[in-house]
Parts: sequence; C-alpha cells; structure tokens
Amino acid sequence: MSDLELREWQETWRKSAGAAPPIPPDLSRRVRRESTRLVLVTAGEGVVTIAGLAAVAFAMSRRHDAPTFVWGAAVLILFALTWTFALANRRGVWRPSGESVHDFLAIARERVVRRLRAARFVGWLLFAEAAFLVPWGVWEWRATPPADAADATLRLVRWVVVAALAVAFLAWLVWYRRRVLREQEEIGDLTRSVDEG
Amino acid sequence: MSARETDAFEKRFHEMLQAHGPALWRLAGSYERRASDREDLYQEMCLALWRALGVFRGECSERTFVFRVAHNRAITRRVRRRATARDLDEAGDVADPRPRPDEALHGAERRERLAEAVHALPLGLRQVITLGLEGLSQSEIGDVLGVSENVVAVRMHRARAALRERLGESS
Repeated sequence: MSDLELREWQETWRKSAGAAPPIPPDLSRRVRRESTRLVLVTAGEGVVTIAGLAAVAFAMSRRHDAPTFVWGAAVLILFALTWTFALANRRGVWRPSGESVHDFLAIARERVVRRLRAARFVGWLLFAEAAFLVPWGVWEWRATPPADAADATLRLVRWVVVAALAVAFLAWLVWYRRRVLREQEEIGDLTRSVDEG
Repeated sequence: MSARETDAFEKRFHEMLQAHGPALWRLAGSYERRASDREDLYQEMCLALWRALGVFRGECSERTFVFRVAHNRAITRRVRRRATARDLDEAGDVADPRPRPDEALHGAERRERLAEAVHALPLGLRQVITLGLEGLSQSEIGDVLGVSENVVAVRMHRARAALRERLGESS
C-alpha cells in the first residue's frame, strides 16, 4: 500500500463523476412547503381533538341519558390516554441531521422502536374501543330504543360506517407495522454493515 | 428570519454547495448507480443541508458537517426505499449515461472501473474509502462516521485491499 496509489485513486475518483447538477432552484420553497405540511399535521391533531371534544359537548347538551354520559366519559378518557402516550413517545427522538453516522443510526433505531410502540398502542386502543362500543351500542339501543324505522335505519348506518372505518384503519395499521418492521430490519442490516465494515 | 438574514443564509448555503457540491455528487454516485436515482439523492442531500444549516453551530468543521448530513440522508433514503420493497440497487445498475466527450477512452474506463469497484464494497468500507478519496484525514472520517481513528485505519486498510483486488492492481 502506498500513498501514491491513494493519490492516483483520488485523482481518478475526482474526475469520475462529471459535473454536479445545478443547485435545485426551488429549495427554499420546498423547505417552506414541508414546514407547512408539518404545521398542518400538528394542527390536524389539535383539530381532531377539538372536534371530538365539541362532539361530546354537543351530544351531552342534547341528550341527558346514561349511555350518552358514559360515551362522553369514554371519549374524554380516550383523548387523555392518546395525548399522554403521544407526547411521551415523541420525547427525546429529535436530533439535528448533522450528527455522526453512528449516532444517526442509533437515533434511527430508536425512532423505529417508538413507531412500533405507537402502532401497538393504536392497535390496543382500537381493540379497547371495539370492546367498549359493542356492548355500549347494545345498551344504548335498549335504553333509548329508536323512535321509528327511519331512526333505526340511521343508527344502523352509523354503526356500519364506524365498523367499516375501523376495519379500514386496522388494515392500514397492519400495512404500516409491516413497513416499519422492514425499516427496522434494514436499519439493523445497515448498522451491522457500518459497524463491522 | 429577516430579509438580510435570509440573504446571508442563502449566500452561505450556495458557498457551501459550491465548495462541496462536486464531492456530494460523487458521494451520491457511490450510493446510487442509476443516473436518475443519483440526481434524486443529490437533490435530497441539498435539501437536507439547507434544513440542517439553520441549526449548525460549528461543533465540527464545515466539511465534516456536510458529509455527515449527506451520508445520513443517503442512509435514510436507502432504508425507506428498501422498506417499500423498491430496492433498485440490483435492478438499477446503470451507469450515468452523460457523455464525456473530452475524456480519453482509457481514462474513462479506469474511472468507471474505480466507481464500480467502490460501489461494490460493503457499506462500512465504502463510506470510509469514499471519504478518503475526497481527501479527508482519518480523524475527519472518524468525526463524520462517529468511530475512532483506529477503526477508520483498519477499515481503510481493508477497503484499499479490496479495491486493489477488484481493480486487479498490485500494491
């Protein structure tokens, strides 16, 4: 091995790629667009929470029966649990991308673990919701029977929509978890490759 | 950010890319052999640099910072693409087709062989040798990758031996 050899390679290497393409002209616009998207996603979480709370308040102002009260309490508990988990799960995984490759891979592994944890949490939440909503629905039907056929149809349609949404969400969750697991596997391979050299 | 700060930021960014753009382009080529993928990765690196520059406080040299961001971006892209089962590393083994009219055939072949040989190395060795080929010292390479100089020295030795073997050259 000689430094002459390395110098020759360096010269060859520096000529190997041709000229770099011009700097993308719309970088600042793309960064602004991404920042806006992040703000919208965060705002969206807030809007969903506010809409949920507003729905509870609206329902409880119109109906003063026990099923509505129990449903409202359940929704409040659900939001509290979700926000507590979401805030705790996001803590400590942001790092600037100017970290060393070793540290970056470590944080990437941790982020994947957090995303898997979030997927598991959402799965349990879905299960808990189903476990609550099915008996609650039967109870509500019996406690406040439909006034007429139209009311019964409306309620059934509501349940079908909720069930369809739950199934679609579950399918997405399965797909998402599988994808994150593949990412975890890939990060593991990369880490081994980088660590072992 | 005020207009003056924005101008200063953009000026700094452009200076940074002027100084390191060609190296980033070569680095992108060591991760992606297909020309279009390479351009995509280069753009992603530029974007990542733009974002990261705002929080860069000079904890390391500018060159170290630029290579860290670029490698991390390349790794992120690779993970995402593999996870979506669109691993084009195998299928996309197409060299950059842009013509180089002023280059002699022998030189072009030699450059292509070197690029191929570097690309064929395991990632850990490839990272070390590409940084070495860009002229970074072992200490700087250690800073970029987050490993000790001893580890860099060992990997550099192995990478050079592997390159020599692939290029069919004697030491």
